[in-house]
Amino acid sequence: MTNTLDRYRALLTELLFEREAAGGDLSEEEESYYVARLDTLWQSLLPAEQDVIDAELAAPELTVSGEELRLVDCVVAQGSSEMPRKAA
Amino acid sequence: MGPTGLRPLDRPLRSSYARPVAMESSNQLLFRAMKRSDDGRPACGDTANLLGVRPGTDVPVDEDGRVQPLTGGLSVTPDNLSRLPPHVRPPYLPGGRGKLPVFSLTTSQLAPELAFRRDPKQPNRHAFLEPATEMLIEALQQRLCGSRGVWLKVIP
Repeated sequence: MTNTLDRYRALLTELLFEREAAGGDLSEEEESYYVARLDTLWQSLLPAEQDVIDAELAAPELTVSGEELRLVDCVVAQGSSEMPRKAA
Repeated sequence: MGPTGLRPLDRPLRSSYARPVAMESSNQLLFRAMKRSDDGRPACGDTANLLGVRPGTDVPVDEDGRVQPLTGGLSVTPDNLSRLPPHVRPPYLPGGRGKLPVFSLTTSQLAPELAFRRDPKQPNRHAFLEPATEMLIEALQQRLCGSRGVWLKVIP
């Protein structure tokens, strides 16, 4: 993979962070600043490299729940095959 | 190939719901992300994301201020919205992260002084709207800007 591919990823990530920091949307002027630079990088990628980016971005995003399973410790005799914790 | 160098259609499109496909015809769909002017149409200019070329970057300009056919022009994406680069592809499409407005037109709406040409390096993803004949760079910019009325904003 080329350095350009990494630079494209990094710049796109920076754009997404900037949007998030701005509350979701940048002005067209600010958006265009990034798009112009991303365009240049995108056009210098090989078609196969563009396919890699497409596949990465099209993959479903992982969502991590803030909830964890509540567990309670159990009294387990030494050598027992009982599980040491169970769901609360 | 026909006498115009265009490949004839194997069969007619079946209905108005037929999806745009990659084939040469006089009525190709083109897409481009651009900044808007106050009237909601694409804004004209010679910097990035405007309806116009960047002289020396998008198209070479000779010392007399002239541009030539087949040398480059306004970047567009042919055929299908989903072929836009991810950073301008609308977010409702797979992989889309774009927020700039996307506009479209068909090649039949272009002035005859403008020519559509696929980028030989990426014929399915990238194309040019370039001068059909030798002309001054100012004339090319005027022709491109003159098309702003036929670009329609793509609405999800």
